[in-house]
Amino acid sequence: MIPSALFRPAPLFSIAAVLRFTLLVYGIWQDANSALKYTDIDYLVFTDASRLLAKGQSPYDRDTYRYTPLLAWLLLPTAGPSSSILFSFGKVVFALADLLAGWLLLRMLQARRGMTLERSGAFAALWLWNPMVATISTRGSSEGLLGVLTTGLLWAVEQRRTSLAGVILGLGVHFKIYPFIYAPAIIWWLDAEQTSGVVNRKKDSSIKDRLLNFITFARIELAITSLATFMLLNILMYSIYGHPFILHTFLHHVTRIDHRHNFSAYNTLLYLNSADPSASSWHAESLAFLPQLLLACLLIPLAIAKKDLATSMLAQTFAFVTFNKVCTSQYFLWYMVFLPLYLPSSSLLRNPRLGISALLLWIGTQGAWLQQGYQLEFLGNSTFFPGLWLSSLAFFATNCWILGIIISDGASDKTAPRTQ
Amino acid sequence: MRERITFFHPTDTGVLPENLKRDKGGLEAPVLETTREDRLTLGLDELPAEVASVLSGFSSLHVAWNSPVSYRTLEPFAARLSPGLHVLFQPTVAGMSDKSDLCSLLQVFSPRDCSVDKAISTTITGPGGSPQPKQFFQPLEELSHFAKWLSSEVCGAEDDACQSRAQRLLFAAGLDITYDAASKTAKVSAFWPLKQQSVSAPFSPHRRTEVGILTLGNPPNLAPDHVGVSGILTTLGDKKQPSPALFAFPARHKVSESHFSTTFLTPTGLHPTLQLSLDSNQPPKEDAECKPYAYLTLPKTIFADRFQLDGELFMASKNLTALRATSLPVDLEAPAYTTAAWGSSILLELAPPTSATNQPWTAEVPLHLRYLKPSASGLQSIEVPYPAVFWACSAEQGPEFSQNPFDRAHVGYDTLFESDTVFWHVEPRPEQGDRLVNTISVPVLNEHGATLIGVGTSVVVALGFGWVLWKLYSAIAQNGYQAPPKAAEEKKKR
Repeated sequence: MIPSALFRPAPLFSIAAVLRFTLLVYGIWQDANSALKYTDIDYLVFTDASRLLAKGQSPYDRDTYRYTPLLAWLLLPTAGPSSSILFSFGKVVFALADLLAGWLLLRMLQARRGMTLERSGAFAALWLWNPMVATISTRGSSEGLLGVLTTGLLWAVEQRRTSLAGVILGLGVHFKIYPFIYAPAIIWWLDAEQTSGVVNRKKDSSIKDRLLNFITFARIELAITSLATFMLLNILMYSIYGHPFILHTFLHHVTRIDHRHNFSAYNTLLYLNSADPSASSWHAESLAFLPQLLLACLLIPLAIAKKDLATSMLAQTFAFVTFNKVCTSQYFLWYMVFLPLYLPSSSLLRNPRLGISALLLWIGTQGAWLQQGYQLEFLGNSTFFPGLWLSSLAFFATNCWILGIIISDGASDKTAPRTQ
Repeated sequence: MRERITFFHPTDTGVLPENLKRDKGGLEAPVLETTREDRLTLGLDELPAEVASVLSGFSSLHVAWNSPVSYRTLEPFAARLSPGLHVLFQPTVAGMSDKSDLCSLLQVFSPRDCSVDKAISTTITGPGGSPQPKQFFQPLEELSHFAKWLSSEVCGAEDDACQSRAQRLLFAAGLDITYDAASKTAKVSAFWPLKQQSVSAPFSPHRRTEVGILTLGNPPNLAPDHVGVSGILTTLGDKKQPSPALFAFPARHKVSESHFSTTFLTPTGLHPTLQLSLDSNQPPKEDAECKPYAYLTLPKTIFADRFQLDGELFMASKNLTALRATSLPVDLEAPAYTTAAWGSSILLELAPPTSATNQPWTAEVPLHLRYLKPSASGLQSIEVPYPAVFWACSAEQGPEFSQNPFDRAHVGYDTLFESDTVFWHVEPRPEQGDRLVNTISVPVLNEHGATLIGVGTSVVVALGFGWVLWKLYSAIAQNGYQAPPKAAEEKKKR
């Protein structure tokens, strides 16, 4: 077992930082000495875009740049030659974002859940020491920024810093769209009980009273700040970069076909129907947004948000990713960041057999898909059907099962666990 | 209308003057190992109205076709292209939709429904950034459709000479059509490769026909980068005896002594690597600056990621120097069935081993397959034409290549280089069989699964969704949705 002293903040963050620093340096070495690059292709897209920006061009002049210009702005120091040390600036930013997200997790674990330093450190280590997280950010994928935005959002809400939460929410949606699913959960959570401590659960209050009670200052504050941040950023970017900004950051996600193999259960169907739109009468994928948005934006927040906002956000993200039309392993980071907040009160930990089964199934079905994907991608075997299709469905079913467990845990009446 | 028929034969064979028969019917000589080129020069007013109206859409047009069947050639017919039909053009009205004119032109070469199968061109940009013509390519096995079109639309039914000429196109290895609106002339050349063939040229009173039976010669004071030629020239119907000729001209395309073949490394997967195997790393010319290149013409099923072909280490590991030019647009993600453009072309500078002694070597080009439509077998075979591989050498004294009566310009890659560049062509040799194409079996979705995939996906998603709904329902039914009072109180305290 790991000595609990290591989970105190200083060693906790030192180890996390050393892990990232080592990977970063190793990555620089591998890039310089091997034809096989450590750096993620996406990072080359970001830095190409920053380079264009430095030359006074639009970041959208780089094919497949589908992000907010903020990212290219942020990475401007990388605009020099790729051999320069500054080229890694973005990776350092992403790695620092990881650490900041970890620090916010630690604060939230201690504050609301009243844990000891070591115990909260151990849960934060699930994120901070996670090799997958550290690898993804040091390879230059921007998902780490999403991690800090979503934990920052939750932290601000829990701290009752509603305006700050609104700004983070607006920024997050501008950045990657999906954080909009947290808006209904936070709005629902920000009731009078939370904001002023007034407990008003009279059954006989009229609909009019209830509506009036629903409209609280905090809710309006959040709505206005988030909407204003989101719109201001969009107007700013649109005024500078025009239509390509709207096209690549937002409309692209509406028009994309997503025919290439990925973890999504819809994937094979999307390929099939994109290739011959007239052949199949089954166009279930065109309704895919319904279960996804119903769960992520309405039903899960309704059922869980008031009881446990962090678990609600985890379950919403999990549902959003599971029911999405496209799903790659980077999306898993979106929900992984919430795991340290959920696991302390989770039946997956209380009941180790359940937890291990869930973990093994999650890894196993993913592994089956990866094996089929390898056969296809590298050996050229036609594994689309049935191999890839079945394994993506199995992975989907596993995720639904785990989602059910998270929902049950989040909805159960419980006070913050005090297991020390 | 003018006609020129040229036979080029190796220096060790030839036609003795006494075996040359000239009469009213034309010219005949015994069977000989030779190449043959027929070139017709036509005024716009001499063309059928239908053809003239298609041409009117272009301010310049170059159509070049090379057979996918491997063939032998001789200088000055050294130029090599990827097998298939290449079209380079400038539309009359810049920026206007060029699709319909291009498509009506293509209908001459193969059946094509222009209402659905639109021909979308691309543009390649060279290092200089000079404006380049639009380009289009399609695989074309043979000229049978073109020959049929000629025989029914252009030749009169009783014009036997024209009919037999159209038929002979079935054996041609190359075809060039050049049209220039400014000069209002079109030139059509067909090329037959080096092989045993009869030497005959029919006489027609309607046109002037020049015939040359030539071989490479060595006129005195042959300038560098020039080709010397000797033999006999004659004009059909002329009373004069054939005259001996000895002359020279600068040549843009030369034959290098080396050869290459290409193959896809196995397993090909979805990211196949095209391996070029060259038998020599030695430049064809000692005293000039020469670099080897590969010009790839890729149908829409396969493409190169121009962003990947970057970085010194990566390129060096593939024996490549740099990606010098790429056509645009190239979508890096779309499946073939939603890709509008015909495909793409790239110019790669290769990095041969620098050893002074001759050695065979390889270069690898990483490529990517697009998703193709589902098939009954789960596999779909695609063909990728051989690239053109050549050494580009700087010429001395800025030669005027246009003086070359056999010059072949606008072959796609030539305009990406300085105008005085000489291309030393490496001879393509098939890996197996006699065709200059590489085949890949692309994994696709097995269409037998279509119904099951539709139903199965819907059922599993519905079950998964139902399960989550059930868990939500039972959670709310059991505990409601409000925060437990204790938790709320606790929050109140802080």
